[in-house]
Amino acid sequence: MGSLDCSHWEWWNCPKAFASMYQNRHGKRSVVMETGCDEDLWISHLLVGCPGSQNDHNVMHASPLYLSVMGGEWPPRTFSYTANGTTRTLLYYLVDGICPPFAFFVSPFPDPTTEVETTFNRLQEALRKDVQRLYAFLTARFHIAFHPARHVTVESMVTVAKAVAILHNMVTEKRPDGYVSRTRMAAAAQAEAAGGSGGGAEGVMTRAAETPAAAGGSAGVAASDGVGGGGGGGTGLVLDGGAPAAGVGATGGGAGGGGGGGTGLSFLIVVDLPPVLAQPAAGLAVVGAVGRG
Amino acid sequence: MDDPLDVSADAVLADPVDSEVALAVAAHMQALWRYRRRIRRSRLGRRRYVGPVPGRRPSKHRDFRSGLRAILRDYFGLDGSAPVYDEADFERRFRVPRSVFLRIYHAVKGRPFVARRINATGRPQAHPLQEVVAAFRVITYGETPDRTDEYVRLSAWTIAMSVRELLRFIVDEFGPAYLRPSTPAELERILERNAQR
Repeated sequence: MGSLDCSHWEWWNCPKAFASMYQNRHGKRSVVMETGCDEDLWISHLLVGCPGSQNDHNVMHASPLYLSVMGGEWPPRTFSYTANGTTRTLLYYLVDGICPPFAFFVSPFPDPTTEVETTFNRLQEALRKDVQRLYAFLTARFHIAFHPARHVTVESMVTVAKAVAILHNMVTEKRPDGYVSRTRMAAAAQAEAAGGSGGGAEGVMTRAAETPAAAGGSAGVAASDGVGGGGGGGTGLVLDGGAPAAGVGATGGGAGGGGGGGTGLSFLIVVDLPPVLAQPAAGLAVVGAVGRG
Repeated sequence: MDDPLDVSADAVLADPVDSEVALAVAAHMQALWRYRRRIRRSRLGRRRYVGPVPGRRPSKHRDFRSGLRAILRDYFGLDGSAPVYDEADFERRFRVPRSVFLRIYHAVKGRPFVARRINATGRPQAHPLQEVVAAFRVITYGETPDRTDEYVRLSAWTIAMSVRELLRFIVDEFGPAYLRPSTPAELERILERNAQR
């Protein structure tokens, strides 16, 4: 159903009486927001207002999402998906390691040793990066959520965060093609169509044609897209293995040319290297892209 | 003695614990009365807000109309001419596409605080567009209302209030539609896309 994570929003004007309650692990006063979003960065769950001294676990226990899952009201059990030949009906969220091993959470292995576990962790983190991208988007797009909050009450901070999330969702609805997931899918569909598979690629291609104009709308959005595209390209490289050049070419087209920044540059270097050297370098790049979120 | 109303002060004072309680209650009541008297005195002593009268600091001559004219000239076009900044600039400044901005503006422009008011001297006050633009600048740039004053020509107080009103309005008006659990159709779309990737 998407990714789920928590983030702290620093509270500048925290009253002295609340200071110890709202003090987070970095020694700053802050308010926690728990967010769930899908690949388009559409925010489907938002909980703001927990004190900064709580960790993700405590916040989750106060979350209406968690309570409704525990009460059996959510998610709807009418859907099913098939993974590894097993069909399940309980939809899941991608979370990080702190969350308990519930059936509706998919968290990475805490101490991966085998190749299967490391691969699983790498792919899981590559997908969970969506929610980290969301925080970069929110703060880059609406700076009122980027600066430490100067509000006096938590209620006004909650209002601000909710309104910012709503504005973000409105823009997301308006610009569904401006995101890297769509460009990636369009590039993949194009590659598939070029390979002779055909089959409904026209609509995707027209969307890809509209995309550069939409993505060029704002500088912050373009930069964030570039970072996401770099990470996605890295994953593609590792998966493809033998054919790095094709994956990098698709990523460059999706990220909108110059928007890529430093990440794009590193992949250009990777292209020049022989495939033997390119493999570990791409793996490192993926780790860097995930860790930065 | 069965009737509680018959309990006399002597009977109460006979028990040392009860006498302590009675003393504490009396002291507390006295403190409350003192506090109330002080509040009342300070309220009487405070002057009510009376607006611009001789002896008070005069309102600044901000020229609201110039702020409105600047906004219209820059982003919407004045007197049939094209706006100074194009769509990309608009989206970069306001962080939302023009359609989203106009949708919010048309929804909020009739609201009590945002709607154009006529003040006591009969002059029109700030235009709704100015207030919405000012609120958006504060939201998107995270700047103080005082800074926005220079462009939209509204006082910092007005801008801070319009930010508050606009945020509350957005949460009340668009919250049910844009901040909700995923619908089954959306879940289906997500699953479909997950199957593809």
